[in-house]
Amino acid sequence: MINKMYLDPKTLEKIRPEFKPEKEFPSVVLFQFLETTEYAKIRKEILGLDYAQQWVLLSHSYSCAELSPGLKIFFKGNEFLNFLSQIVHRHVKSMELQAYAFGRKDYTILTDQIVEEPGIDIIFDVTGEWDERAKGLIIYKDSKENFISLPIQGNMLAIVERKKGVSRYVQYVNHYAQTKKRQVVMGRMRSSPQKSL
Amino acid sequence: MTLLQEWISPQYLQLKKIEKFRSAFLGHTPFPYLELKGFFRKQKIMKVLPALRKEMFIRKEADLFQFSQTQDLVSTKSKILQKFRSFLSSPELVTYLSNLTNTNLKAKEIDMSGTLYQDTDFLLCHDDRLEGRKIAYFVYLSTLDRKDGGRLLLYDQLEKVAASIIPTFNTFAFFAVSAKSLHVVEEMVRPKQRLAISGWFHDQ
Repeated sequence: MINKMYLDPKTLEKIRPEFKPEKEFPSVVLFQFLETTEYAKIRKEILGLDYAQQWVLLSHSYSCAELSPGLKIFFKGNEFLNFLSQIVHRHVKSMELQAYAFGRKDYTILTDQIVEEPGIDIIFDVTGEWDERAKGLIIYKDSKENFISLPIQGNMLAIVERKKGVSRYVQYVNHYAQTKKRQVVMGRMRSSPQKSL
Repeated sequence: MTLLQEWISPQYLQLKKIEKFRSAFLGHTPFPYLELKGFFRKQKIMKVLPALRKEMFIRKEADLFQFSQTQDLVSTKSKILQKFRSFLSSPELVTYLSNLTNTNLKAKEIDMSGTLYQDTDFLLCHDDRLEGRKIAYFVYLSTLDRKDGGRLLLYDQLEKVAASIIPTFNTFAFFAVSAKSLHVVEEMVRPKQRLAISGWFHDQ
């Protein structure tokens, strides 16, 4: 299911240094992450989930959905967890994931009331055609205003470590989105220090 | 001619009207606010607009907002904007506003900057609270249509829009800053400019 290119030990060796803990924003972005046919199936299943609108004026507006059993088999399965473990240099035991849809006027705001614990996030993007002017980028920002933003592209997997003081938000989606939505599966890893892989 | 007469349109200096505005401010929901159209004398405010256009606007983008803003105009080199700022922070105007809002505002110490919202710019919900801020104010220098976006939306405690102000040239609007003063600048959805001078009056 995972693109064979990424399972090649030589490719993995090239990716792993991107996730060294001494980096300010340890992160990797893997394009064409799944084989094309499998991606089409997974995307269809993600888009077909039962999304519910979540809105709290001072913190967020988006739709989200629990993953279906079929999607859990992939995202919580051994192939995916082992792959992640090799990249993040620790044993990934499980994932806490949800599917999100960000349409026009959706956003998340960083608030003092909701401070996320440091951890490793994964974002699997299944967004279709997207007008860049519509914004909706996922941004990671530290307390010194340094930041990274993730590209918006279907079949892209991003793995980002949130160190202490690093927060994540999704830019306000403006009118250029029209009726289109940013669709991602997003969440965090549960891991323990890796002995050897 | 007094300083107030020099700057403010005559209808806003009639004692009976001032009392009416004061009642309106305090009675407005979801929190005390007031919108005074045509507030400044035309010959005065007409000079402010081109002066502000000459200021340098810096792009601001974060989770909560996207717009352009000048530095605090305390440091402006424009004589016109210096005079405008001097008037807004004068004991005369501050006493006038203190009376309208039933507050005890401090003269000479105001925050004041120019803001420019263009297509897709916005300011998401917040309450403006910061130590000393008592009254948030806006001097609108553009006239927008509802369809342009850019309205100031005031939210109630149930997180519903309870009042809105569509920017109109030469409108002086203000509201009391508190935990209740949840407000938003709606996204601009057309290629128009929303230019304003805004800031805060502080308490004594």
